[in-house]
Amino acid sequence: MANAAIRRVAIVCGLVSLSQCVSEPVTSDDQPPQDLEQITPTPIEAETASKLEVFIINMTPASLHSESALDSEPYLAINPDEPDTMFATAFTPNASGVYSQTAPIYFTVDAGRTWEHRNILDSEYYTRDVTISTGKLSKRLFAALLRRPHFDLRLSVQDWDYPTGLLASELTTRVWIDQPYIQAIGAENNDVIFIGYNNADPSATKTAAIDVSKDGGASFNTAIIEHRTTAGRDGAPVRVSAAPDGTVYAAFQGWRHINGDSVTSDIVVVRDNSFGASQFTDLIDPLDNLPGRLVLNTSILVNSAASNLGCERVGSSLSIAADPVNSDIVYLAWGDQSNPNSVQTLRVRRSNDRGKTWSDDLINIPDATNPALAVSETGVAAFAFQRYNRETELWHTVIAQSKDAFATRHDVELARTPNASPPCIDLPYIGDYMMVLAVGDMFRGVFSANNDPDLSHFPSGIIFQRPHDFGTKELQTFWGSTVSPSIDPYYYEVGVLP
Amino acid sequence: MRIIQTTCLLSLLWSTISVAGPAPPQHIGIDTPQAELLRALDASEFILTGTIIEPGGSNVTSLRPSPETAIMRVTSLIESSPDQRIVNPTDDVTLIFPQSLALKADMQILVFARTFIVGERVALSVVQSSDPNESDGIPTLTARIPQLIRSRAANELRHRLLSAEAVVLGRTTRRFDAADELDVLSEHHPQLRAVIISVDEQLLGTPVPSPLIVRYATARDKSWKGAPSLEPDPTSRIFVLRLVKPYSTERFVMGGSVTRVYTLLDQADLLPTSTLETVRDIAASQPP
Repeated sequence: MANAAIRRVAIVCGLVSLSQCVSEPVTSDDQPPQDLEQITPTPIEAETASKLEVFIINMTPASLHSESALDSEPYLAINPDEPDTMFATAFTPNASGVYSQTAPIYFTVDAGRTWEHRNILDSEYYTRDVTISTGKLSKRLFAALLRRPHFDLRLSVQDWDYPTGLLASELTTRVWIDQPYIQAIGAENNDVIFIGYNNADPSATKTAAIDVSKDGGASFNTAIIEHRTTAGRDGAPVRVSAAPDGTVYAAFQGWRHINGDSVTSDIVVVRDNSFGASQFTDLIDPLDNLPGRLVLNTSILVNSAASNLGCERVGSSLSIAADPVNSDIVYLAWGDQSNPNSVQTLRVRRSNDRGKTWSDDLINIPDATNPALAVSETGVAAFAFQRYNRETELWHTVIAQSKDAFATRHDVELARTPNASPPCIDLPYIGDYMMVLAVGDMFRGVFSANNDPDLSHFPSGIIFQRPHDFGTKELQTFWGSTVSPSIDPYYYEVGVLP
Repeated sequence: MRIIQTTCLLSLLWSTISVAGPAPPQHIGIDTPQAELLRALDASEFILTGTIIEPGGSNVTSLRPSPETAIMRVTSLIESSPDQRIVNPTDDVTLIFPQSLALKADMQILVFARTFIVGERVALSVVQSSDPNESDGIPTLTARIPQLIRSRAANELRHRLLSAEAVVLGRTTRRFDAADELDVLSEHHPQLRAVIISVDEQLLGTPVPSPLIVRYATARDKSWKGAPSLEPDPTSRIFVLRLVKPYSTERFVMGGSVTRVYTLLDQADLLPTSTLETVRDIAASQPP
């Protein structure tokens, strides 16, 4: 009986227009904080904004009613032929408990209206870092993950024959790999897979690298994309963006000097013109004639394993996105310490000439992390991020869109969630990245945040699958007892600016 | 001659059926060898019994009903992880069998299974099951499970001890700051600390000095969640020591000698003295 009562209050704001969502009752305390107003410099007309569809759902399934893990650092992949089928990952344990030999992915076949776990990844109980991508030709889901229980940063590349395969197969494995970041794209005869990563082998010094498979994961070749002297290693994030015409960009932090909790780093973009055939050496910097354009040299980055932005550590903030129709256009976002009053400032730039020259900063967001970029087929750019307000101690998850390279932009606040609930214990707290992808006339993505069923935390509306009570703002078990707040992944959609 | 031809034809037909048709289901029963049950246990997350309420059915929206599926009402949960809360007695779960079975409603069954789908409801992938036509054997099979679990635990402990560099009985006496840190290689760095262990008795493995140095992880990164703390503690414990590169290194110590620095990164490698007798039995079973 408790079940039915709880589930009756589940849906408050589904797929509705923005204007309908904001008509939900909100108290005066729920108005956007002043600092958020300041980061919306040129809002587009209200009429245009009201037509944008916004949809947000807490992805934790109903039967995980007592789940209270830190399900952070989410990632999203979409079936290119059937976009209603999507896949997501997070640091989510197998609900079967500590004895389990598999880790879950989130899976939907109805465009994200319901999500379930499929326990198919070959890793004990949960994974460490994990990213996923779908093959265009092979109809398989590829996963690059750090497999448990090993202590040696063991990369495992697996593929899942969805939706019926009971377990993913391991394609290859090796050790001392950090932050594997996978992208697959259909080439002429096969899926080409790119895995950007940081080589954590103690003997390596040029550690930014990309593994490329041109045979659908049967074999991989390594491209070392760092060509300059490092401070002993490069930064952890290596992000890849592949355009359908075979142009592949990658961005990394070229670390030049480590000074305690700070790093002097170049922000480097490399490019390959043909699905990785030239080892990402097609973009040369005019300063030293080496592969890899220095978008910014001597940026100061955060290098700390401690919580320094709310409960979260920062330092891996990096994203790159090529225009899928015109691959000459590419956007880049990264975080650094350019603003002395900010723990980390996110900066966005754009190149119109295949990475040769770059704009000045198009956007500056102080005290923010988890930048995510995407470009629609109509050329609209999306920039999603999570900003921490040190005064209110709230995380603001925002997606900004622009049709004119962020000269003007439209922001949608997806969530404003408390920081230290649950308490700051494990890291990452909400993750080292979030996601946005362009699919037709929608931007789709995932982020992680506190999971209080509090309507004031979700100004664009929210659906919870797991038992909850919006009245008491508490999560509940099937038996009616209260569940402690934790971090959950959320799926969101926002209509592309017309 | 005619008889021979007929036999050949039948033989050919039989082999065709054997190759093309599904393999006959291999059920577990009261006579199933322990090793086979252990293999099923290793591949499972649950052992449970229940009643088939809808053969060929599925109550999970994203899973189509098929001859390989059935809805089962859970009667009892014989074994599962202590922290699982998604399958409980009286729940209706969907089972996915490796092959189709001639199931009927009200049949009793015991299954070794793991979760495949956890959504609004739960679908379990069946690793092994009892013969649904012989439910009388379920109580006997069920009675074997506790021994099976004890046997698996013993095997795991044996493997854990024998794969270690050394196993010692001792106490952590003080921090050893000089061996605290290594180069940071990633954000998953363990943030190692080192302690001195005073060894009371070496139980297994390569001879170690006493005292010896052991590193453990203190990082908040999730990679190290559950790693044990080895802060100085007068309590006697059993330390299962490993050499894990690059966290285990050689180290100069006072007097200019070189010693190995061991690691202890897994909570299961720190054993209470209540297991001492078992550990000694395992050690005694090894050739000198």
